[in-house]
Amino acid sequence: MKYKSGARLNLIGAISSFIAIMIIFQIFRIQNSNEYIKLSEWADEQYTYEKRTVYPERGNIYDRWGHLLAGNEEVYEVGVLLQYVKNASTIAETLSAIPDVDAEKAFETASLDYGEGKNIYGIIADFLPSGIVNALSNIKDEYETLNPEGEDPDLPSLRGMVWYPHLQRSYPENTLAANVLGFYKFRDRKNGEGFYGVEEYYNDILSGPPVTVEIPLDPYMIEETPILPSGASLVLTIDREIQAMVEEKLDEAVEHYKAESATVIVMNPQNGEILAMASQPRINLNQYWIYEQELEDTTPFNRAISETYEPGSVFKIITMAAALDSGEVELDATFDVGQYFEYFGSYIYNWNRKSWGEQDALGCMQHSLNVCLAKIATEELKADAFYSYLQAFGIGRRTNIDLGGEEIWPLGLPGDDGWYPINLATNSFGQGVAVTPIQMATAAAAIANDGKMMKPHVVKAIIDNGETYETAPQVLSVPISEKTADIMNELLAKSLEGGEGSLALVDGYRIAGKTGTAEIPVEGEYDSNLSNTSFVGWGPVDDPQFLVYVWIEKPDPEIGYWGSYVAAPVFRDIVEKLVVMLNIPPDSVRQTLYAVGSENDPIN
Amino acid sequence: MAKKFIQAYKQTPRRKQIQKLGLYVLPVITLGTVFALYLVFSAQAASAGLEIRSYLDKKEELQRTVANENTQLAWLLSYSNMTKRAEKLGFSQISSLNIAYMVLPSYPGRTVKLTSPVPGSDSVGDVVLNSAYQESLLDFLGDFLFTTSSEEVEP
Repeated sequence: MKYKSGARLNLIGAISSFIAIMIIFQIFRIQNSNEYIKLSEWADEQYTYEKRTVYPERGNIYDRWGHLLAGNEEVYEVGVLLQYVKNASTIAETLSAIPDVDAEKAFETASLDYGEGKNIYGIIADFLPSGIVNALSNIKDEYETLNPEGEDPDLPSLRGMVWYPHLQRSYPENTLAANVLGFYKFRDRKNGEGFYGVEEYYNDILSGPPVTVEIPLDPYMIEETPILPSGASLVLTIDREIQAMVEEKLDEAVEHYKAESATVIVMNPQNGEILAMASQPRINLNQYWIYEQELEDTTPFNRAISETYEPGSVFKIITMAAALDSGEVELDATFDVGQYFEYFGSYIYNWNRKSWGEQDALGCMQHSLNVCLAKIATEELKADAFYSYLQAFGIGRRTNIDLGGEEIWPLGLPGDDGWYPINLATNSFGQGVAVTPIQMATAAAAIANDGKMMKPHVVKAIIDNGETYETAPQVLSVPISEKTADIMNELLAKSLEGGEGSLALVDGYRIAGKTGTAEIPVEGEYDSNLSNTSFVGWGPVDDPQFLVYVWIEKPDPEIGYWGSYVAAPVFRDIVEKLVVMLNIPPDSVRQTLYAVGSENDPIN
Repeated sequence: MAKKFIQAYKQTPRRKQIQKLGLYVLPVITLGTVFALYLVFSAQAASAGLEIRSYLDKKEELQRTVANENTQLAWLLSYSNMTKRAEKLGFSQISSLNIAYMVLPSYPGRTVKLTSPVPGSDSVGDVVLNSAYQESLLDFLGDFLFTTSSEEVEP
């Protein structure tokens, strides 16, 4: 009995041990088999990591004082997890109350068959604000109380309806500075990109590169989700208050003169910073998709950089600056300004088709005499020098302003197809040559800034990954000497004080400037009822801190035809407000302050 | 007598059976204890992992909220809203001729300070769970035995 009992126990122990050893052996064998390795690799691939593409938050855009012009706001995507849908018709009916949601389509989506490898999730609506989602959440909770887990098919249930938040581009100022900002096509969540303006030009650095990361699903292997830096933020040179004021004045002018459109640029000639840039039409950037309806045919998004036109007499400042700088014309030289000037069989007339007798440079500019400028270009300056100066002033070349969509009209040079000798005469007073407003403003700014032509720009600083990078002003060229620039400043200030542009004068401030009126060609012939009226001016003359370029396109000729009557008063209205906003005291006060003065310039 | 009594006690068949049974059961209990501890720590690790995941999700949510709040604030402070508020409060724009200017030598002028967004990190792929939670028993033993012994021989 004793023997049997011990042997039985040993036998049971041995069998148990053997089974245990076999189990362990089998575990090791399975874990090292090819099948296991394959299965393990497949499982790792399928279930260990989830691949997710992370889109960094798009950078913000601020005005020069930190007002947010473009940011991001939270919106929601509403969809259905098909596995959990209990009552598709309730979902469709509830969501059909949301604008742009079609009940039929919603029902179709919610009724799709669930199946692995087939349909799992369907999107019904997107870009919904939190208010709507909160309301949906309340309704869902209410139905859940009435019909727990949606078990009763006859009762309503929103089971399966889910929402996920994401960011959407938002423009808190709506239409303000729309032409400068451009827009981001946020409705295309995967391939959205910036169009026009800053959004286009700086698209890459605003968006930042999307990163695909593998997120482990195994909680033991959890890794830190990468903190992707947001796209870089931009601080613009634009001043929100100045921009709003300019847009208001521009809209009033278009309405008053029944003009087709208008464009205004306000820049600092000393560093090329654009303080305001406005044109019509402007769209609400939060509804960017309507831009194709708003901008009919070939209407550019931003006329200031994309529309070329014959500038007319404002161009005379370039011709006169070139003539004085080259030394071919002295300031006190006089010209016989007859009723017309014949050149290569064509006739050039003054604006009033009258003779003006002997005129010096001041008289020619003061009365904006085409005959005088045509004589200067053809008889004194000659073609080579004239066109060299035009090129130095950037005519026919891009300014490379940091905005998407800049266009140019190529400058016709002697020897080019389509260039005729008469072009030299007509180009001298801004006909037969086309520029964009930004080209013209940039060229004029060279005269205001001691002959140095600064590159126009709208971005003042870039904030990237916690660091701020200031934009340095760049000199594009030095088309004329400082001495010539001083002479031109004085000449244009005097010409304004007693000439056709006197409606541009601002009480208390000495301004230099020039009016422009250009006829518009229609089917190859100039139409004397259509005009492009413009005015370029800057001040204070002894220390120019602003330059304003006004272009009013096709005003009603019965209300106003000439730049001196249409664009000059708009310039004055803008500058009257601008000097307050820029904190520029009247000249007499400023000179007194300087005299009192501290070595610290109180203005700058 | 006492010696005989002890010998008889030790040689009792029941006693021997229990000893043998104990010998067989001991490894089972040891293994069971090890597996139980392993299970407890695994559960803790999984729970910590899931908690970390929820914090990471919360962090994303907060980043979205901050962006959203900034934009909502900008809507409230937009030019049109601020102009309406100013007009409602009776303010109007002033003309340059009605402004009194004075020199303030120490005044630096209007300045602006922007809070830049949070910089990114280089932590892509960093495992955030304590490595002790991710080791198997073999890893632990291997580390314990070999790392400790190698450290000891180092001068």
